[in-house]
Amino acid sequence: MARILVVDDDPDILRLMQFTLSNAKHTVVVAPDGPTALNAINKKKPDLIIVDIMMPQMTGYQFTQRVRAMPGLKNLPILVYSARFQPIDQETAINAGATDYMPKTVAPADIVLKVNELLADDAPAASAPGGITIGFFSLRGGVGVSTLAVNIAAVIGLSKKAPTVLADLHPLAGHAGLMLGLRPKKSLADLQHTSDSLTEEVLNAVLAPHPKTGVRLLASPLIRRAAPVVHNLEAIAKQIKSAYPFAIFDLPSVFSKDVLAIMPLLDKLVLVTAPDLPSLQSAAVARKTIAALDAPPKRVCLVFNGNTATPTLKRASMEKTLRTSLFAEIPFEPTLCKAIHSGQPLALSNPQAPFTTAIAQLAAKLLKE
Amino acid sequence: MAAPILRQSLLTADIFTSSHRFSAQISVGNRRLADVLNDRMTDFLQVQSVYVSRINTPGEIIGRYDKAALEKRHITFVVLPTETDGLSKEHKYNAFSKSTENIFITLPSFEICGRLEIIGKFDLKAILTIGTTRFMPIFQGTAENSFFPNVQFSGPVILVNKEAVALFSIITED
Repeated sequence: MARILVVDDDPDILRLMQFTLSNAKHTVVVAPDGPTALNAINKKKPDLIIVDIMMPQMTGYQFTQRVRAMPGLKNLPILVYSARFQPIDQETAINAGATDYMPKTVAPADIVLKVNELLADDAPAASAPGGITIGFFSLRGGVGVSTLAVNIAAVIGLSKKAPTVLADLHPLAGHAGLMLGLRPKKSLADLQHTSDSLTEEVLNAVLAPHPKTGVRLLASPLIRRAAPVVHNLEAIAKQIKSAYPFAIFDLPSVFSKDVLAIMPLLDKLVLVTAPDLPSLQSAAVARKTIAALDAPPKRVCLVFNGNTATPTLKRASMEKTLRTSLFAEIPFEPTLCKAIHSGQPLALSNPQAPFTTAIAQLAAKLLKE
Repeated sequence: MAAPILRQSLLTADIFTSSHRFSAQISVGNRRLADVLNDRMTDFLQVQSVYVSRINTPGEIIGRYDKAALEKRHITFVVLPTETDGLSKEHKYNAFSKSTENIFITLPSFEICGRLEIIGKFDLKAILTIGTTRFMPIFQGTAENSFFPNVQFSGPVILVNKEAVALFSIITED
């Protein structure tokens, strides 16, 4: 599938990586030190590099800096894989230009998972041409997926001054309308039989505008009889992507056929997790499932939402267990429930709150990176 | 292709003094690192492929040496990647008398928090003085530099040099 250059002075590690990655259908090129690897880069044109830190002649940090200075390799994924496993080592590797970091204590299966994840991040967009689409997802309900989706949509709607769609794709009783203080008469259910006839006009007729932000809401149905299974979520998502420059999808907490069909349309999937063990488990399972997809989202961004005043897990534990860095962290905000009750996204009603600052930073990062 | 078998005799660990961090390989043979460190037959620890960092910039490598020897009395603690290597092979657990205490230790330039497992009656002084082992395992430990509190190291087990301990205390829950 991909050509991977592994750089390590330990022949046992090279053999282990060759075995593990070859079994995952990747082509493996090995080099025992930095200078040999630098020569191999031009000849072998790797899609990804795995490099150790502690090597003679040239450390992994120096090697990474040299690679980044080579023309055209600014975005080549470099995974640092080292026996130095402290957070400071991860930080130093990232500062040197590495894409990600893994300690050598991880299981071979996790290496494959991480490699596939980095390759998926680096892959050119498989999605259809159109606007920027960002999905918000968690396998666990109650972690704040809709809250983040609504607030991000509000911030983008306000700042970009461009039509932004917020699509609440829950088959029944999604909360995006409630959080925006809207109670639209039309919903997702009105698009359920429109696969062939789904035009921009048909879509526009169902969207409800939010006066303050200009966000156009595709609401989830609130009445059960109007909410049979919607079979054409993929077609709806495609139409939104082609018609609007910015689209936020609030996705249901399940890997249904329709949700999986939307994944390749996403420029970014925000995987939301919270500071508790069940959320951690859900995030781990979701990451593994997404990494195994034939058509994954272009990029998965893990966001830690501090949805409780009494967290039982810290950010560091979450990163250590999931073996990845968080894309962003949203702090706990005690007035969030009040904002939901008032039908005002907190990002609008309380611009001074740390929550709002974090949401604005997350929105900027999602649109920039 | 058969899965390669890794040599287990070389172990990589982070070894700390009050001023430096050494990431090094230690040849443990068929022993565990705790046994190598507690071996009273030698006051030195032979290491190889040593990468040296200063304690205030612990991510920056300032030197690499193929072979070196460390004087055990100057080692304040060792952070290990797995719990197993921190336990002596002779370490026996007694399910009936084992207890666990959250402890706080000060060492030259470092403060360590973690969990200590004790067999028998808990006696602070006895833990530091009785027995022939120089290094004691602290589980789920975190070491914080006293002068640079943002410099922290943690691991499933930290082997602490008992002879370097200044303060040894129990953390009591309020």
